[in-house]
Amino acid sequence: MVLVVMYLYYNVFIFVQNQNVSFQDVTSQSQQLDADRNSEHVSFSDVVCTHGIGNNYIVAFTVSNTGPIPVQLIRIWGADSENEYTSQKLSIVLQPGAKSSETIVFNLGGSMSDIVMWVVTARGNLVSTSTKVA
Amino acid sequence: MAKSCRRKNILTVLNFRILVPKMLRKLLFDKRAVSVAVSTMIITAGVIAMGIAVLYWTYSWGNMANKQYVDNMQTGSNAMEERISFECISYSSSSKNLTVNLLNWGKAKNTGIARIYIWDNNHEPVGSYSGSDLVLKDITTNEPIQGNVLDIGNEGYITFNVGLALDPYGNNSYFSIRVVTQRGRSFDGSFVKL
Repeated sequence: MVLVVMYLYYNVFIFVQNQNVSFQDVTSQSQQLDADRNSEHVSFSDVVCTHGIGNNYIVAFTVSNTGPIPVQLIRIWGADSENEYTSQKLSIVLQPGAKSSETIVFNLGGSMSDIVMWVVTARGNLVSTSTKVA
Repeated sequence: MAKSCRRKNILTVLNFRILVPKMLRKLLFDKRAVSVAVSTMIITAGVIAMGIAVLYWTYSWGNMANKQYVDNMQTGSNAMEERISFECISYSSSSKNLTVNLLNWGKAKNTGIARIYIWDNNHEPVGSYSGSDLVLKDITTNEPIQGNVLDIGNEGYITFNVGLALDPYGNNSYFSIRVVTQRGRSFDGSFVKL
């Protein structure tokens, strides 16, 4: 009888222990997500925007990963002074210290003097820049 | 011959009347076991049957408790790993539509949006939107996302009509927005009415 009770108790104990370990794993992963997100540092440089044909605006820029962890850029958004937005999908992975020069064509209505754009990282960070249309 | 036959019949009836009550009496009122072995077997069988019934009952309850515990743990874990980011929030003064572009950058699958709250600069409630107002659409294809949920790494947007809620506020007014997921997590963002 004692053995049976001990056997049952042991099983319950192991089950609860397993669940606690799983929960601890999730907590750690969750904290790591936030830590990684806060470690991301991306910067723009050499941003040049020129007016193309029609409503097309050609934006050339260099994006650098100045943080300690790899960064994936998944989308770039552009907005004009008339509150119109457009976006394009990106797939750029930057290792720490790496740079990448890109050229994007935005289709935004009307003539404008400034353009605001920002990239979205896979960890949900937004990095923005703005430039005058040349 | 006939006389002897009748006598035999009378004796048989008498024997039956005397014997049967005697056997019944013995069976009902005799406290001695038929046999020790048989009684032990009957008791053992009864105990085993009861034991199996109790074991099955406790096993069923244990199984249900186990399932409920695991489900609760899973729900809590998924909620903890949910992360939503605001890619772009835009308001159209002409159509009174607010468009909220979202990214699920967490580790939880099937993140659904249950409610959206908006506050003004003084943290006065401007509106709350839920139910059929909130239809997630794909940013690239503009098609409704199947299941109305965002999978891991997926982007989507919600466009809903805010009516006259933002009309009293002038241009460049600042608003806070809160997205509440179906698992109960909330994520805050902000936008400016241009």
